[in-house]
Amino acid sequence: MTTREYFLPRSLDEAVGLLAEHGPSLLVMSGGTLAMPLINEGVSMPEMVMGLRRAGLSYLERVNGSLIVGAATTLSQVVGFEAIPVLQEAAYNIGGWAIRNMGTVGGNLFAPPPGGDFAVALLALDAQLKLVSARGERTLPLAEFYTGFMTTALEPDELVAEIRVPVPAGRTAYLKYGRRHTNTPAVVTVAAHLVLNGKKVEDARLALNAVGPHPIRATQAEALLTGSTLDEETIAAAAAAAAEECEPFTDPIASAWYRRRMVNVFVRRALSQIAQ
Amino acid sequence: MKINFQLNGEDVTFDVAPGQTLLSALRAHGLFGVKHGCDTGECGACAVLIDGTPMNSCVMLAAQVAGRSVTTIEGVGGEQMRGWRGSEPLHALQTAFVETGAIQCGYCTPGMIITAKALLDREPNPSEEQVREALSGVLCRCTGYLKPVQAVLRAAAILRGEEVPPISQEGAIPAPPGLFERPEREAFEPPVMGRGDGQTLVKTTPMPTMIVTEEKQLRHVGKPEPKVDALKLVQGKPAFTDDMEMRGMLVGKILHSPYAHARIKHIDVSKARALPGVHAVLTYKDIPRVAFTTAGQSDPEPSPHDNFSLDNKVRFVGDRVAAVAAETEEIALKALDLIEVEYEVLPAVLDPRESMKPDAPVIHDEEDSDGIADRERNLAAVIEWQLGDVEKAFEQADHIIEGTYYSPKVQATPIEPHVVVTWWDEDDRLVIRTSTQVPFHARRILAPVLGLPEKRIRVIKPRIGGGFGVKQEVLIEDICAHLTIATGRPVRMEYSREEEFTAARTRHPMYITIRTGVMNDGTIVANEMYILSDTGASGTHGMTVAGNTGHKAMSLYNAPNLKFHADVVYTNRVPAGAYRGYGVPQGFWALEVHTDRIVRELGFDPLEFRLKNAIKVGDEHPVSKVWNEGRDAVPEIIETCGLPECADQGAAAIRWYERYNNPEWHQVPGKPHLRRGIGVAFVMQGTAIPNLDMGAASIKMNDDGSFNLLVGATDLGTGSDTVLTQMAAEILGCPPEDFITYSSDTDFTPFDKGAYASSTTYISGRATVIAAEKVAEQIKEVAARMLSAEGEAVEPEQITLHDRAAWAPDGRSVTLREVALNSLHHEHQRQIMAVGSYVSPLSPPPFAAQYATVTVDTETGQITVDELVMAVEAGVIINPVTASGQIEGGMVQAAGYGVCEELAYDENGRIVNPRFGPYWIFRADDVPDLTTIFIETYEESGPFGAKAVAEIPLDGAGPAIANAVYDAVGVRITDAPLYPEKVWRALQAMKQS
Repeated sequence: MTTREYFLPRSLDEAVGLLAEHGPSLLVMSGGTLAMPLINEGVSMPEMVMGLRRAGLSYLERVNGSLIVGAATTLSQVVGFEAIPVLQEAAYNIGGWAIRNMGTVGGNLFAPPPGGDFAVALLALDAQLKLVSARGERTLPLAEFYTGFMTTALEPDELVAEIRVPVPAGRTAYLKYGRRHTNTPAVVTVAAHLVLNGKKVEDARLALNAVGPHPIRATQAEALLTGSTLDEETIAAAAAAAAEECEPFTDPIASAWYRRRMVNVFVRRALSQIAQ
Repeated sequence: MKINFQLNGEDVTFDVAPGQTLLSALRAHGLFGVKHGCDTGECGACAVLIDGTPMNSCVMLAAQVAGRSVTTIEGVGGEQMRGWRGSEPLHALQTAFVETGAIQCGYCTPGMIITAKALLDREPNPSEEQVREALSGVLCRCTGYLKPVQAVLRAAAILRGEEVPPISQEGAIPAPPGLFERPEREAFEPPVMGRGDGQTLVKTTPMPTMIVTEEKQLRHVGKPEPKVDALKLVQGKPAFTDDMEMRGMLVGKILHSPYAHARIKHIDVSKARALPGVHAVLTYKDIPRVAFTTAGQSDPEPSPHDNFSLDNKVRFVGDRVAAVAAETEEIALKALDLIEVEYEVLPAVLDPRESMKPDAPVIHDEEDSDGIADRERNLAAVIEWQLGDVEKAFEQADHIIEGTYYSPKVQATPIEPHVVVTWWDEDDRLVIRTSTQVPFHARRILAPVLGLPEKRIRVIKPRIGGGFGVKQEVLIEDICAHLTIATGRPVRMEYSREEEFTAARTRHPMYITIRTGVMNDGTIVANEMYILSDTGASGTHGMTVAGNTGHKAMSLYNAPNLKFHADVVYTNRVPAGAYRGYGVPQGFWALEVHTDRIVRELGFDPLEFRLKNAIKVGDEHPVSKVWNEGRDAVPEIIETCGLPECADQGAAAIRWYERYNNPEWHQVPGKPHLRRGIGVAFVMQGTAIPNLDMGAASIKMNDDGSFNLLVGATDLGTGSDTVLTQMAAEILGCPPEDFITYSSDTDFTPFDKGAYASSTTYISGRATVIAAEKVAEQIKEVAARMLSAEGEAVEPEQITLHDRAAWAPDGRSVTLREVALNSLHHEHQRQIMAVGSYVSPLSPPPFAAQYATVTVDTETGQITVDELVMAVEAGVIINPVTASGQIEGGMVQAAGYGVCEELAYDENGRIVNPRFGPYWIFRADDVPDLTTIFIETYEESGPFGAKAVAEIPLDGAGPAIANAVYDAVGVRITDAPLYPEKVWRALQAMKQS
């Protein structure tokens, strides 16, 4: 409510220029579904706000075996774009219709847990982020983006401009477990991507949300899966490993204790779905 | 900054602040159809279309819509009845919402319609699942979503050019064989994947199943008449408290306590007062100290006077510290930040089981509060009574079963928060326009607090966006009025959603211990109930809620020996108050889970055991002999009770006999981790408080033969204006549309105690009937004189009223218009007008059998409630559509406290889930399949034979679900809600033992 100025840049260049000029006192807002509640509740009182809706960052296209997604692309746009079904599914699992019409792919990267149910799917698919500042641009794997609870590798003058998602080479699964079907904070969300040769796992990506400071990879479970035969025993061992290595927390939705146990159940279910 | 955009098809320029939300900008420009329900994009009341796509305007800056096209409810459908301009058609969605009864309070209706419009614009032939998914972002607390979904499907059919069946009550009797046969519902994987189950059965009519006992020869009563206020609500007209502007209006805000229990050692407001734009900052030092109760009840108020507008002590996180009035919300919030407070933090009591301990801090240590049972022990109220000799009966009983059951702290969450506007009128009277269920009590209670006599206060109740009891409370009217007194200016104050959770009122959490003596033949010989009720930091409704728990829950199984004791204790939590059901849901949560235990442990049939012990026609209502809200108790006899029929019809509808004890049905093929279960609960409620609740109505005839019906009763979305109009229309022989029904305004409408205790249809209805009968008599006198002057003499008693005319037995008639003109202008001139008022010596209980089926995921503990069937006997149903809307919405609220709703606290007494995200109320896409059955009886004492339906649906769903979970997986959860983690822990514990 204390906002003095609102910027609506018409290009990425203009956006990063404004960011360079005003620095951290400028709140970057994409869909607004995360920032506005905090502003309305008086938790956040930004002096200046920059909206990204017109900065030309809203697009989806397939390029050379990858899906290129502008950071300000809405979740509804993702739901409607048939390229990578697991992403459609992940996007569909967030909010109600109106929220999906506002919330963006880039914005979801910054949703504190248990938010981030789209980012977790991106993590399982080895998404790469294009970070842009007035100084130039760089590419960073999403896995290296998060540095802690609500902290990232983003420099103060940088924007997430684009996300590049390789079309998965293997089979995927996405399970969000909340107290209800959709539109709910997660107890745990599991996104898995396994490259199989027959029953043998050649490569495994297993990402978890709502059980860590940000969407995380279950690297020990991944290591256990890679090279193994995807049978019940492997699945059980991987599920147990993921439950062991995750860092769950307690909130009004679930206790850390329960979350850890549900990681076991839902990793198992996700892997079983892939094995079928 | 100036922004240009297209608003409802027209180019407009708005001057907005850079940080202003689109919601705020639209409302500031008079688009009041866009509603405020939360501040976080989680309720959808503020939904608008941006370039045809639904978005939530509360989480969007106005500046973002520059160059876009914005559609609000005001841009949907044409204008109505504009004199010589006539009417333009409404959108098919609006018509369907009116016809199907999809509107209760109407506060979420604009959001629903605008979202549904976007869906139908994209998908002309949506499935029910698609409709539910689209509406899932728009929360509704009234309807249970059944009728809104039907309305959208109906509108879609109309828009496709299909014929839709009329909504009528024809041929409802008697129930033909096979009526309840429905296709088997597939079980589905409950927790994941988001796409819903797709299996919900599409209902084609909003009508409930009606089992009618006699043919009715009535024209308007018993018919699914559309709500009298539906047309304005479906167009988003400015009908609600906040839908107004006044010159110079200030915004009021409250500084809330961050501590659960503290004394204000020092408070400095000088910086806040110095802030430009601030007109008043009030602390306890600035206003008179008057002890009062916020509970809106009749005089003398039974709740302790333990509340002060502002105090030097805070008793819960969220309690008032100071109040500010400023020119804008932004300035007001900034002023709150500038108030410097030094607290002496005191030890707090957060668990009611600690409240009475000797070392517990005393929460109400002030000397000037009044009516507290024992302040040293934090005891707000104590109730004790006994019938027969329980101890002796226990000695003789074959079995004694005892258990303790907990019901949680839940919030009513009407989508419209508490909101009030106060101002001085031209006669220096204080006007309070407020979202209240109790305008007359509010005036009386506020008078001493504000230092004004009642006659200098006027309370206006406009349309209310849901209340469910939480608005039977004088919650923020006092502080807003203090700010108007301090500033001389109009002040508006509205709670945020967070405040609604942290600083309004909740249901009373209760620990209930029941001890039951049962004979080998299944006869209950004794019941003993002990209640520990947590009233929070104020005793508002504390005694009467706990009394009501015993009054209803102890009466259902009419044992000869009954003993009841309730301790109502203070804690440092947000006060509990009235919430739909008023103690009875807590009572039946305990009683019906307990009864299921008895049945299972002793091997009885659940239906037979209940029916064997249940109260019957001709029985004395046992607790009526000993309890009436702390007043003199007068014994009552049960004159109508359809419980056996409810049990039968409900069992048939849910196919009880095919499922209960059928191992095969309990399995889900191919999904060994899922188990199905079925459960039942019997319940009863009351209909008004006998010898106390009074309502009145006045009816005045106009020149054209129309009538003003003025009622003190407060329709808060329940449809009471409609059913009262139907009754008057029946008697006066004209359609409901000939009534200008108005509720309520302390200046214009006669007294009514307000909307609570399931009383409006019965009490205010009877008052309306009395007024209408008097008016009918006056009309007949005039008509008889007119008809006699033109031909054969007619006596008034021979005249009948129907079809907007007065008829002689020989078929001659004069129209009501002719009667009115004659009486007002031509002969023996007088105003045809009458007042009726009514108080009942009785409170005839409605009865119901609630059934539920669930699917339990044994690997996660997650419960999916598949079906809720409620068979209700509530006398004659005045309007089957509005009545079934009450049952559907009520069952869903009840399922909420059964499975998912609970305010969560941290160790410092802070509520950690004060948002609609983590505080989960059911949404359109996750409500169970709902079935309502009405078994009609004729209650002689009620208007047209009616009893109440408002609260009874809150009583049974919780325990029926818990019993179904036991049936599914064998774990007995005694503390609601049954959220997954709790069920899973119980499953693990069972495995280990």
